[in-house]
Amino acid sequence: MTRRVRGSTRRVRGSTRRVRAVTRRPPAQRIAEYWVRRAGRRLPGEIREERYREWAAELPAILSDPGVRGAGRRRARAIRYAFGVYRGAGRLARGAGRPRTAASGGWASRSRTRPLGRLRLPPGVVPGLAAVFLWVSDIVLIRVVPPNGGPDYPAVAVSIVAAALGLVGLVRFVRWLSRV
Amino acid sequence: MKLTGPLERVLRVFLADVSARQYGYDLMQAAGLSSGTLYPMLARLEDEGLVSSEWEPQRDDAAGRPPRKYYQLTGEGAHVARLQLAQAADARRRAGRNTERGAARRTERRAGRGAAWPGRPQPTGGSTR
Repeated sequence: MTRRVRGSTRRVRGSTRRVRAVTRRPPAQRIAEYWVRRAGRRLPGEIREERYREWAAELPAILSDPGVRGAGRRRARAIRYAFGVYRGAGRLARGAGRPRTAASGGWASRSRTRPLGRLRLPPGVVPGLAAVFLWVSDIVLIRVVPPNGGPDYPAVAVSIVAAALGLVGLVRFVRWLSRV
Repeated sequence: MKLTGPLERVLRVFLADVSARQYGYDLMQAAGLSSGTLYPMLARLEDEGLVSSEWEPQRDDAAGRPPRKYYQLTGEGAHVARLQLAQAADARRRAGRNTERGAARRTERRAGRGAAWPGRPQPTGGSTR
């Protein structure tokens, strides 16, 4: 039996699975925390913990910044801040004497087996991208081969597949967000 | 320390109030930089001993917020920053003077009166370039 426990991470009696904490935080904060965590993973161990604490502590301050009007703008700022931190973490890691290798989590590496290094996208992103690709292809298909009178079956089929993929991607992403 | 544009902006923010505690986010806003530019720069300044950092003490009225880290210029940092900014301003002034001279020279050349570059002998013939 699996039961979710709010606000803490612990093993529920009778359960063999570890239950993750589910805390109520705004989605923007969760997305920002995700990028901050990823930034932390790019850093060498000796500076990781402190940097992560520093960046994560800025997020509540940004989200409640009285100088920025509008919750939407504050959320956008928090995400931009976190993504910027992720971008800068590579430079910080190199400054800390760590060479950029396949395991350093960069976008590309010299490894032939894992040319993208440790690239781990959130769930739902790949189906979402596939849906966008199919949707664009559909538009191109209609422009190149315009339907003459009757229904355009290939275009309809591609649209249905794109919609299904988009839905799957969205559901996975939202589920993942609620777990993070 | 090579003074780049972003670094100059950060140093100006620090020098505006040397004793003030500057949080990363506040520095970003005041200097108009992104976090990806600011933090590696702060780390470098800290390594060079020009900036020091400390964690703020946990306050009771913080409403559960985690303590933030703040940065301050060290004594040496303030001295180096002032020196660097003064040098940069001086270099800019000199560059401005040269630009003005060059512009004047070009204008005069266009007007067909030959090259008039103060402080430089007139060319005896051929191209002035």
